[in-house]
Amino acid sequence: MIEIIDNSLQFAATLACCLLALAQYLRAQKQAQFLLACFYGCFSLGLLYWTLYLVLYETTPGTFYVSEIVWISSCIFLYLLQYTLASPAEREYRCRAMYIAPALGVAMFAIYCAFDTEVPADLLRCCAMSAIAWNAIRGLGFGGRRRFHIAALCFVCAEYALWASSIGWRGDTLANPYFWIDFALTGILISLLPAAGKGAGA
Amino acid sequence: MTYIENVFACIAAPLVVAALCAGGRHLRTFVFALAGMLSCLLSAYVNTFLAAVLDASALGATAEIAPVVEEVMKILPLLFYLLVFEPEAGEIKAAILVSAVGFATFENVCYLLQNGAENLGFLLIRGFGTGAMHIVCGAIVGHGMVYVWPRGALRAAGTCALLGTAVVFHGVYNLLAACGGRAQYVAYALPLLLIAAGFAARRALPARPGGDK
Repeated sequence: MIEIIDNSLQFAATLACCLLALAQYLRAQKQAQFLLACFYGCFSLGLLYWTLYLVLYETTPGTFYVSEIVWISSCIFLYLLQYTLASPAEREYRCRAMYIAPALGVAMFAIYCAFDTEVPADLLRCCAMSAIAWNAIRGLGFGGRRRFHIAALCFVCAEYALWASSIGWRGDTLANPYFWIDFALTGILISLLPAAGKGAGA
Repeated sequence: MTYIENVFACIAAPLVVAALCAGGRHLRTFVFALAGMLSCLLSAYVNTFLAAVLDASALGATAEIAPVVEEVMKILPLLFYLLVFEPEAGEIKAAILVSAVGFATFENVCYLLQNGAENLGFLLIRGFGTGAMHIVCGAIVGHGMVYVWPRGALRAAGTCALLGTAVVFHGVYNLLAACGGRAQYVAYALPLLLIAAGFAARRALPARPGGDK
């Protein structure tokens, strides 16, 4: 029950953010707002799919990779948003701290592989997270749009924490830290809208 | 047993003849309609193969395997068109929509062969719903492609992301349709409502020239 409530809340939040970003895009025609709307839209559709599966069939999808595909798609939209908001100078910028992103990705991949058999999906997840973290750390090092980069970094950390907490599943209760991290993720997702909107000139 | 390749041959034959007679600018429309139908035929083979390999249940095959396979197969003719012919924006949208219509038509024909054609009311609702779903998926990919294709950096990643979005929309539709009862009608209404919302948004907020790149 908690999982359905948690997913429904996150779905409502991301759908509202998608509609807001879409309205901003239709008014101002900025590429960044379009990508932000795509990110939220994709994320909310994925949540809708997962929640409907849970509500209608009382189980979670496990035969094929629809959930993984949609999740990776939303991450690609976020990555493209980061790329679009970065100036050419920022894209060229390098600092040592950026290498934390792939190092963390490799460490998390090793942890997931130890407990999980879905190696291709884990690899994709870690690559997507590393790429977003790489851009966020680079943006923080370069300066400017601080709130957006911090929100993106928090998104990566929350996703890593979610997967780590789902390894030893502690049941569908509030005692399970997974749900608290997911509630925090909802907050982070909402915070991305004003943070990215500012950079996008909304 | 449904011999869908025979059905395909019967539907494709007059289209091929018409395409050859029409020629010129109209040829493309026929080719994409045929490509859509061929994608549907190949999707059926791949779906069956994957369902057998993964030992999938009926729900798994409908709601998880089919959306991925069908959307991937549907995008292949468009990708070929984009990479080889480098068409203009308007042509991209038309190509994917005609391809989606071809796909939906062939899927409807196969459905009729398997389930009969007695209940016209339900078939109309289903026909509009399924048709609209394929159009919405096509529109997601088509409109998105128009946007991402001229922007080199966004091209590959954008295509994957658009494909993922179409897959999950298709997945939600199949999930609801497979459930039966009221959920089935929600599935049929969902793409129609989205198309209506899209038209309403376009009328209410006309695109301003001078947006950024």
